[in-house]
Formats: sequence, C-alpha cells, structure tokens
Amino acid sequence: MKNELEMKNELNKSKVAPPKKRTSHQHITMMVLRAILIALSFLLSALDHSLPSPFPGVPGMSLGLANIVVLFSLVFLTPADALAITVTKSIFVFFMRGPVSLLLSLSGGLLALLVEVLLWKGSRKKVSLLLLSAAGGMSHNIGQIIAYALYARVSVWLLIAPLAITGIVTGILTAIILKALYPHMERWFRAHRSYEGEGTE
Amino acid sequence: MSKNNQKSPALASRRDILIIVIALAALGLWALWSYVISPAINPDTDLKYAWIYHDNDLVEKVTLDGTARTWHLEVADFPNIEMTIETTEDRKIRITESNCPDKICVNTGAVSMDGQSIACLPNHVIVKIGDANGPTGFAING
Repeated sequence: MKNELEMKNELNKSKVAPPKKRTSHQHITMMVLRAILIALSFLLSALDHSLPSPFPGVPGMSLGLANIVVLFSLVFLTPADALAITVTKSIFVFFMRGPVSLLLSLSGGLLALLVEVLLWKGSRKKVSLLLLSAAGGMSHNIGQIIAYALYARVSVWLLIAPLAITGIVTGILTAIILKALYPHMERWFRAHRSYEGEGTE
Repeated sequence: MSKNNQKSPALASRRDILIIVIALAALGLWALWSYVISPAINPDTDLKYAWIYHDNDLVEKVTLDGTARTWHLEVADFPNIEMTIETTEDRKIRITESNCPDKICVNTGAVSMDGQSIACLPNHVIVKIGDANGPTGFAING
C-alpha cells in the first residue's frame, strides 16, 4: 500500500532517471566511485602508518582508518566491493611495506570483512553501525595477531585482550564517522540513481 | 527497491551498546587479570632470560638480572641489521633503535614477563622471554 507521499517521491525519482537498465554513464559513475574508494583506502592506510601509534606497547597497533572505506563499501555497495577494496589495499601495503605487512593486512582485513558480512547479512542489514564496526575492528586486530603469532612463532595470549579492546574502540570511532557520512552519501546515490539494482538481492 | 532508499541504519541500538559494553568489560577483566592481578598474586621472581633469535637461529641469550646495559645487536652474515638493545635495572629488555621501516619493535617497549616478546619482522629478529632452558609459553602454534 503506497500513500500519496511515497507515490510522489517515486514520481520525482523517475524524473531524474527513469530507466531500469543502467546506461554507460551510470556504469562509469559507479566505476569512478569505486576508483575513488580504492584511492581513499590507499591514502588512509598510508596516513594510518605515518601517525605515531596511539597504543605504544602493543605491536602493530594503528587506528584502522581504511576500515571506514571497507565498511562504507559493504553498507552502500556490495560485499564483493568491500572484498576488492580489502585485497587491493593489502597489495598496496605490500608495495609500501613488504610481504610481512601484506600478511598482517590481509589476515586482519579478511577476518574483519568475514565477521562484518556475516553480521550484516545475518541480521538482514538491521545490525547497528556501531556493533558492525566494533566487531569488525576487534576481529581485524585478532586476525592480525594470530597471523603474527603463526609467522613469528611467539605467544600472543597476553596481547589478545588489549588488542581486542583497542579494536573495539577504533571500531566505535569508525562507526561515528560512517554515521556522519551516511546522509550525504544517501543524497548522492539518490541524485545519481545509477545504483538501481546494484548488488541488491 | 534498492538499498540506498532504505532508512539509514541506526548508529546503535540499546541492545548493541549492551553487547559492546559487556565485551569491553570481559576483555578489560582479562587484561587486568593477566597484567595486574595474576602477577600480584603469583609474583614470578624467577630469573628471566631473553632469547634473541634471527630467523629461528639463536643469536644471543641475555640474563635479565637487573644489569643495565646497552649494545648493538650483531647478527652474523647480516651486517645490514642495525638494532640497539637495552636491558634495564627493573629486569626488562627493550629495543631502543632499529633500522626497520615500521619501528614496531621499538614501540613495543620493554618486556619481562613469560609469554611476552618483541618482534622486528622486517629484520627477522625476535626477542622472546623465558627461563634458562628456553622461551616459555609459546603454545599457540604447538
């Protein structure tokens, strides 16, 4: 049952871009958006590692700023986009800081993404941004520390709790940033209407 | 209907905040236990040793007996590794300088407890704490 306002809204939208099938212009818009997101993830990742560690005493700890882009892609685009950004970001990290950093970046990124996708899809997109991001931040750090333990053959039991806590805290910060971006991006998507059907079930 | 027309998800529901608070409390207790309470109840007064490895080859075994000392790590056949190591009077060991790009080892700070370690992955150098027989508590990978 549609009320009058909804019908009016749909009419307005259809004026912007009525066709269901996407034009090449819309394809290009989405391609550019993805390219910007990947570039942004590179930039945030580099920025992250140029800042002094906010948690001295805990190895490899950083703010995880690039996670904003991954979460954004998951929420606004598709899990496949989020995966693509996670992997390309890790490849960038490989060129910047070498194979060990690739291993840590990939293990943390993939575990975080897995947890986020399960929460996002499992809750039918009803999970709050805060829980999604905090769980992602925590699993990112745990994935990294497990890879570190296996690679360096050291015990990490003492590090799991502080790293999980810092992961949750940085995840909360990520959620707040994402929440602030949300209305702007929604407006952008609505204006472009190029997103119709993309990645929907 | 595409998902961008959906209402934006809430920042947090009360239930989700509760889950996060419980998780933080549990992790905080765990950290408190392993860093403060457990060492206080069971003070580990045994003499500790720092085992310094390069690629799983033992480079040095350092006694942490409270002697303050600073030295350059010499790894045979790897002259490009430049690291300064320091032992402190409170029986700890730390890496004070390193030529690695990420400085994670330097930022790790001083360690002294069983199960702690300092790793410089770019230089393939790892410092592990243990007793006279070898590093202890390295059970995660069997």
